[in-house]
Parts: sequence; C-alpha cells; structure tokens
Amino acid sequence: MLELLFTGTKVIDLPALSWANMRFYWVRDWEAAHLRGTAANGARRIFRDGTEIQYTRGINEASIGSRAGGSLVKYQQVSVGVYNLFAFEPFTGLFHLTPFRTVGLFTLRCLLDEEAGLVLRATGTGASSNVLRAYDLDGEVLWSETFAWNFQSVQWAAPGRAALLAPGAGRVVLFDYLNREAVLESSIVEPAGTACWDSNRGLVVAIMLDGTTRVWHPTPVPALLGQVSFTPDPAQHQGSRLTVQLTGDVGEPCPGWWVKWRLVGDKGELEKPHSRTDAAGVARNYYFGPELESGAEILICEVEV
Amino acid sequence: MALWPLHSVSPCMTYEHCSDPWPYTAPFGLTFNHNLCEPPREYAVTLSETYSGARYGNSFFYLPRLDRYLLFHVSHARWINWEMGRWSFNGEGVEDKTYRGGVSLFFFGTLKFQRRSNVEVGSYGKVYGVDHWIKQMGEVSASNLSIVTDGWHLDYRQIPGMPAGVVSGLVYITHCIVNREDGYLVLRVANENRLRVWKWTGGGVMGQDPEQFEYFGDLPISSGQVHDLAYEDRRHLWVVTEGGYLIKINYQRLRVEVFSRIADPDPEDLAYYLAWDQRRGRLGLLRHKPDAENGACRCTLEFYRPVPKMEALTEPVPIEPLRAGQRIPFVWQVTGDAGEGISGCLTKPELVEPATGRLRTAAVVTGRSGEALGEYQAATPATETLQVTAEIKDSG
Repeated sequence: MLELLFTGTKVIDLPALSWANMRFYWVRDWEAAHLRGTAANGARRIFRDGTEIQYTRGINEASIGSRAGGSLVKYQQVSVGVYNLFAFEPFTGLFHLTPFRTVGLFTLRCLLDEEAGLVLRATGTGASSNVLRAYDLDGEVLWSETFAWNFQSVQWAAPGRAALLAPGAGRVVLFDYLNREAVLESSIVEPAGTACWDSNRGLVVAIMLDGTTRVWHPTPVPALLGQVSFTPDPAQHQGSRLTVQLTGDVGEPCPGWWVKWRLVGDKGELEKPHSRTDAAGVARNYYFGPELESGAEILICEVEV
Repeated sequence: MALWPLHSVSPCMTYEHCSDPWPYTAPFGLTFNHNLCEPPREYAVTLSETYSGARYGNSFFYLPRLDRYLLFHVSHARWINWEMGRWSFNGEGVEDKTYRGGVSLFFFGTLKFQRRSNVEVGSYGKVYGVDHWIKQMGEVSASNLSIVTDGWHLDYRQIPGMPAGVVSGLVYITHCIVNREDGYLVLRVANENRLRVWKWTGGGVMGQDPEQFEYFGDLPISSGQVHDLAYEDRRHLWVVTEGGYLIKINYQRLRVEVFSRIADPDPEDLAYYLAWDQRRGRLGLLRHKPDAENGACRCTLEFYRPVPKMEALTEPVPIEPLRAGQRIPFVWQVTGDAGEGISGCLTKPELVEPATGRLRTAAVVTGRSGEALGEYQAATPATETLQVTAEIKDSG
C-alpha cells in the first residue's frame, strides 16, 4: 500500500463521462493534470489539491495517450498499421493539427517514447488490458509482460519508466521498460475513479469516486516484517549476520524504513540498535554470540509506522 | 481576470437616436430598420452580431499614427441594405469621432465592406485585409477600408500551400496579419481553429509575388470560435477566442508565449475584439454585449496590461512522507484563471499557532509553472496546519 500524503476537500465537478473515458493525464509543463472536457463542461487543469480550472471550451479529445517527457499525444488512425500522432501545445492545451510523426500502432492506453523507439500499450484478450506490450515505432511487437490487473492507462513517469495505473482495482505498477522489470507494484488505499502519475514530483494523484483528490507517495507502507534470518546460526564466540525484510500489503518491499533491534537476555550483543531497509526492503545487522555463558535470549525487531 | 485589467469604459459608444417623427424616411426613400427604431427601441444604430468567424465582420484595431482605436462595423440601420460605420476612440477609450457610412456609401461602402475580411494593422503601421471579391490581399485604407491602389497587394490564391477551399472561393480568409519587414504572413481561415503562417522567401521586404511564399507551419489556437486577432509587433500577435481566452503567439517561432483570460467573461457576451496599443504597450478589448432593452449600447472597451494576474492559490501538498525529524517539502501553486502558472509571485508559508514544528522556508517566489516549494520540520509527531499566502503587487 502506498503512503497517503494528502486528502483533498475540494470536490471536482466531474464531466458526464464514465471513469474509463475520463482521460486524466499529468502534464509536466503545467505541474497539473489534464481532465478531458465535454461540450457542456470544458477541459480542465486539475491541481493536486483538487483545484480545477477550465482552460478551454468543450475539448473532447478521447484519442489521447502519454508521451515521454510528461506530455500528451493525440492519435488518429489513417489506415491499417498507420497512425498519425499530433503534438500537444502546453500553453493552450490543444493538439497541433499537423501530425509530427506516424507510427505503426497507437491506441488507447499507450505511451510513446521516441528516444527509446517504443510504444508501450496496455492490452489483453477481449476487453482486458492486463498485458503490457512493447512495440517498435513500426508496430512490431518486441515483448510482453502480463499482470494481474487491467490497467486504465499507461503514463510516462520518469526516463525509462512507465506508470501502469489500475485505479478501479486500486493498483499501481511502476515499470522500468528499458530493463523490463517492475520497480514498484503496490496498492492505493481504496479504489479510485481515475488516476495519473505526477511526473514532476513522482507521486500518484487520483480522483476518488466522490470527486475529491488524493495524493500518494510511491513508498509502500509496511504491513509485514518477515522472519529474521541468522547467517550462520547464532553460537557462542561467533558473529552472525542478521537480515529481515519489510514488505507492504501486496508483498512489495518497503525501502527506507528504520528497523529497531533489541536483545532481551543480556548475553550476546548487537552491532547497532537500528538499521534502515534497503531497496529490497531488507534491514541488516550483526549479532555477536555471548563470550561468557551460552543460553537462550530473545531478539526483538520492530518498525514504527 | 488573469491579465491585469487597467480600466474600462462602459458603455463605450453612444448610438444615434432615431429621428422624429416616426417612421423616419431617409433620402432616396430608405427607411430605418423597424427592429431598431420601433418602440421600446429608440436608437438607429446597433453593432451587427458578425464576429470574425464569418466571411466578413466587425474590425477593431489600433492605428499608431492616429493614436486611435478604430472600429468598423456593419449596421442594420436602414432597409433595404446595411451600411458601414466607423467609430474612433482615443487612447483612453473615449469615443471621439463617429462616422456613419450614410447614403453616400450606401452601396459602395457596404459592398466594399462585405467583401473584406476582418482587417488588422500590420507592419509599418498599415492596415491589411482580404478582398474576397477580387481575391486580393493587401493594404487597405484606414478611413473606409478600400484597397490602396498603389499599396502592397497580391493574389492570395497563388500562394503555395493555400487551402483548396480558399483557392476555390468556398472558404474565406477571416483574418490576415502581415509583417512585411520580416516576411511573415499569418492567416486564419473560416471555421479553422489554427493559424497558418507563410514565410517570404524572395529576400528583403515582402514583395507582391505570391509564388515566393513558403508554407511555414500552423499552430492550434482554440477549441472554440476565434473572435479576433491583433498584431503586436514583428514577432507577436494576440488572439481572443470564445470564452474570453487570450493567447499571445510568437508567429516567427510558432509558439504560444502567454495564455490567459479576460476579466469576467460573461456567457451573454456576443464577441470580443482585440487591438494592441503600440504606444502604451497594452491590449484594448472591445466587448460586444447585447443592447439594452431600449436599444442603448452596452459594449465596453477594456484595457489590459499584458501580464498574467494571479487568481488562484492551491493548498500546500506534501511531496514526501511525513516523518517527525525530517524536512518535509510542500508544494503549492499560483495560477491565473485560465489555469496558467504565474511565475515570479512572492508566496509565504506559515504555521497556524499553536505549532510545535518549524518552517524551514520563509518566503518563496513561484517558478515557471507557478509552483513554489517550502520545507517544514516537526520535532515530534504532531498535527499542524500549514497555510500559504501570496502577495499581489500592483501591475505598475
């Protein structure tokens, strides 16, 4: 579970669209998100705290996706295997009318990274979208990764990283698409209506079902402190390396948390009273076996959340 | 009100009263439009509701050599045709000279005007427009919009890259901005939400050979109707659109530099007309509002300094996990009412008393997106309230 930083009180006047059609994308130049408009309710900038400002009238672009660098792209199919892409004008929030390039495939839930020569797409069988598939710019499939959730959108998070958002299921995956590995797989507190990745500050911003915003930091909140492991097993006159892993509610590692260690028994010694979890959520310490007398003692390991 | 409003004149025009006795008959047997002069309406003039999205429209611009804002409009005053009127306002927006086309211009002036696109001032302080009748684009007279015979002009149909609809005459050019000094031609075509730009490739000052132009590119400007354009200088122009959105464009680089909004846009506003005052460096905006019940003018002339003004301040949001002992950065943003970030705005965070933590930032000036970042540090776990204020300086 990600760490909740902010709960907004302002209620956004949501357009009359289903959540799946909402098109909520972060725009790095604005340091705010774009929310699709309707004829009755123009497109708006949504700020983290829920402040909403209409910036144009009636923009109704449904065919948009994410672009590396924290921008948007509009797509239009010309023919089979030919898609025109239109650049985003960040001041006005409009799309250029002349395409800046053509690619072999670009549909809903896509991310374009021209530098990497990739189009990432959340797709699947039928209506599902649980497969992250990478294509080259000509539309040839390069690789696929399968997940357990259907993603609502794929958004640029940072160079080489995509955020896969399944706000309905309350799931967020941060995926390193250059090395093909998930950097973070976690959950948000409760299902949201729609969500985007704040590429300015590396946060998850969501509009909840009641129209308020919430902001999460991509630090999983600890849910489980695992079993302490001794290497080698503890013994008199011998040192043992201690490791313990801290994980969140879906088993994701929790880096950067302080683990407190203490011994009850007054026989052996610990190298340090607390240590911090690393990127794998593992905290390390050393235990030195008793010099004088052997016997049982208790090692207590705690995390303050 | 995201641009700085300076002052406004409301109403900015005084319509001529209907003459007595009713029904009044003008020379040559023409009569006043009953829709104007019939009680309770008592004025013989009104602005037509044709803004520049149409084939022809009202034109509003600032003429530097006269130091005057000029409005040319179509009036439905007399049956069976329309007539042209010209209104003049001084630099402070006070109406100082009104000219109605009258009978002498009844046919000729009206026809001339209806053939014209919305005309605009361009380079050298001259006025340029498009004549749909003779398919010419060129310099027009600021007194009656007739083509200046020895002025710059060309056949726009022969410009390479001109949309086919314009060439065939099915689609009209509604605006043209001409910068002859640097060789840029900016056109807006009816029902298009983009500006199209051509570059003169013939060297020197822009000449009259249409084949020497090269298509330079286009720029999206609105998702709604474009109401008017205004030439600022050799690089910039302004656009006002439906909803009162104002966009400053660098047409030599095809990029938007300012995005903002007029003060208090009202759904009942019929149209907005824009002019750039080259002497005072400010925008003049004519807001066309519906006439009053008795037909009196309700239009306003408003002046803006072209600097975005703060309109909203977001709440501070932490961007790192809240931990006692750690410095926690918070972000807040200052925006105008079109959502644009306001940079250079002084903001001050403060903790609401009683507070146990401390702020590590006294004051922050907002950055490019209107964002500001401050730090807070709590010694012990606590619940505290952080609030931010922003200082609005006079526009100067």
